Amino acid sequence: MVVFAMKTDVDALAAACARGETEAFDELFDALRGPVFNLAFRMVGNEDDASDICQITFVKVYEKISNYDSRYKFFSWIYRIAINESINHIKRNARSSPLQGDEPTSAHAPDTICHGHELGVLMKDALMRLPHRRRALVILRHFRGCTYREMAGILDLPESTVRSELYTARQNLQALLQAAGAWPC
Amino acid sequence: MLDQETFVGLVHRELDGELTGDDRELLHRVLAQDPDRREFRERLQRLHKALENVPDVKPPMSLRGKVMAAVVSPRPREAARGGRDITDIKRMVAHRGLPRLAYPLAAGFLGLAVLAVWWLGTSSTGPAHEPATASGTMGLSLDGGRLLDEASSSLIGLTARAGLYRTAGEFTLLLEIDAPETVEVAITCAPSDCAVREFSWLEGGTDGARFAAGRITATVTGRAILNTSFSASSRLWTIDFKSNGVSRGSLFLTAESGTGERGKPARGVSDGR
Repeated sequence: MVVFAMKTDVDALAAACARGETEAFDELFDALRGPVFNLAFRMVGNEDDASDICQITFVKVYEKISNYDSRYKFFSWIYRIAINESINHIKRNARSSPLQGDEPTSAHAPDTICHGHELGVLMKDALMRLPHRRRALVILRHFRGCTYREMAGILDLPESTVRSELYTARQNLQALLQAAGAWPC
Repeated sequence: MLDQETFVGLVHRELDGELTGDDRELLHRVLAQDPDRREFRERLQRLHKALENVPDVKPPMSLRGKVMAAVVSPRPREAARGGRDITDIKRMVAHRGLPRLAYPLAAGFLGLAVLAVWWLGTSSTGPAHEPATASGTMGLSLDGGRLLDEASSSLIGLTARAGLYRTAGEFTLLLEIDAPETVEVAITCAPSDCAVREFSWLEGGTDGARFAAGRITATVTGRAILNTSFSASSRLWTIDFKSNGVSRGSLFLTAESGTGERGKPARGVSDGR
């Protein structure tokens, strides 16, 4: 499975980086810049802020590589940093209004938006209206392919909380898409 | 009969690939008997599909340059391909735990010491650089140049924005600063064979600005616009701000390959980020 291969390679690169091997940080950056950038982008909703968060995340990894415990998956550690930085950014900028404000709306009839670009846009809007923790869970599960256990580790939550919050987040998403006329497809 | 809460949990776990064999059998028995529950599962499955179809976004090309500039100053040959050598990695491991900007600042101080000799002999306020114009309150534009990268930030105690342009055979960097209190600005280019060609103030500024090799230093109070040009060999720029000797932050710009292929038509440096 692709995700597993990525995790294994990244762990090896992180260990090499900590040992001081040549170009390990560069390779680590190349392997993870896409996932970390996309995670941040889904959390904050715009590319410029995601780029800033991604930059901060990698600089923190660079500084704190000695704190990384190689018994754990490296991606869990870097995702945790990226999510924390994203939440800090959202709080600082107070741009997010979880489950408040106008519902996402569509100019098209529901049967024309169940697939393709517009549903993606509405899904992004709906995602941005979720509370931070639920948003992070949806992103980790659906966009980064994390298991319940991995999400629990990344967000430092009991697995039972991960499950109940993720289920509620999906209900929230369906309700928001339904209000936008884009659900059920 | 399975209660609704348990049923919902089983469906979520099944779609998440976390259901064990016995529970899967139980769920399928329940679904076979209840069309409403089948409908619930189908809707949830459609939500999974819809989420799967949201495409990933490509990170900006400038991200590598910004990260690498923030963590360590690449060597000339390494900078062109964004890599580093064993010395840099060893330095990273040996000094891990230092504050985020320790490396760029340390490099800056070292550069200051080395260039001090140069400054004594080459201090100058360069001639005006013609193609640049300034317009609006916080807007910059460059006639005849292609915008390669831009950066802006409301740093502690000042607002700054910078635009990097590709012009004929060189790079032009426009820096706009609004500093209520006096701030020291240092623009450093990399790799080491890069060079400042000329600079001028389009607005504000002081006579005390200096440039030598790949570095410009100036002191600014209030609003100012600095127009600079660099040799075609330049790739990375770090703009450091200090007041009373204390760092107020940095901006980073990169030309990537330096060929201008990722350039956009010149336009005003955008507000905010």
